[in-house]
Amino acid sequence: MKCSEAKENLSRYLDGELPAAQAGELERHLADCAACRADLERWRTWGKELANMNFSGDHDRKLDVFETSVYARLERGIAWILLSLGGALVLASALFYAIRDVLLNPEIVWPMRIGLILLILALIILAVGVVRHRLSTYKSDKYKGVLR
Amino acid sequence: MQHIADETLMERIKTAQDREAFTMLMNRHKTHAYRLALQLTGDHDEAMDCAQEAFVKVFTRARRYEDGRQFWPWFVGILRNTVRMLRRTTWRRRKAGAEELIAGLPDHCDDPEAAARAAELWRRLFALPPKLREVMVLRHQEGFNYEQIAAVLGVSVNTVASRLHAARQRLAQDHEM
Repeated sequence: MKCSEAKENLSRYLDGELPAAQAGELERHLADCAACRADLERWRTWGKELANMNFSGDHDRKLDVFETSVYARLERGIAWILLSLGGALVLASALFYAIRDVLLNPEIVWPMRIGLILLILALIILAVGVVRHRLSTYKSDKYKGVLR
Repeated sequence: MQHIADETLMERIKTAQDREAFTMLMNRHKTHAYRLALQLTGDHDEAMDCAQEAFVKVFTRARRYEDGRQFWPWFVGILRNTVRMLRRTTWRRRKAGAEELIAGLPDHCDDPEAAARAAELWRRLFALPPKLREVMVLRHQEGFNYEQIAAVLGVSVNTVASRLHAARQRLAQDHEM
């Protein structure tokens, strides 16, 4: 086995993820190659150092109020849902009155009525476009199984 | 007091929106979650934000939790995606900085060389692109195997292997410079 080949497998070997046959071949190479052995040892040391390190700081105090903050966030989430529902209802009502009072009113000049029709059409096309795009990308989204 | 498994607590949250179970789960894992988020973001405030948001998702999306699934790897997936989503928002994007974190490393008064070595290693780790840094953190800090990392990141085992290999090579290159 050449060094270049061994280096390709070194990482998997260190993590115990190299199949037994390849691991045996690599071990034979390591027995003869000081450079690859040094690489392996260095990576192993880094792994241990990373595993043993813990950070601390003033922010650790915030952990005392962690639960309170999470529950406050949950309540804010409910408030946002209610706000969105309320906003949607107000918008739907405004649209209804716009159609009834402006679009069907013969006293309103026709450019204004055409403008409103175009606005409503644009909103519908945009909404359909967004939904269609969402559906088409969902099929090919490789991260769809991962919770966001 | 009798120890209740994380998975049992999750089932209680899933079926009954049990707040007592949720508080118990948070108390048990908040420090670990915060420290993991800290290593992924490199920023104390962002880490706290992400850890809290991830627990909010645990509660609001508990229905997606599959019975019998190990809680912690599932949670790490949520946390990692919360970090990713947060950093994607441009107005909050900051370069992960190692200096503040290194200041919070435990003192090695007895061994200044070890302290300098640890600080240097973290500096190099934080200089890695997020995709390479996160596999190193999940492998070495969490002790996850390739399959578990792949499940957390939503990638293949081969991708995990090649990212870990690339991360170690980059660390070695920086070391030699």
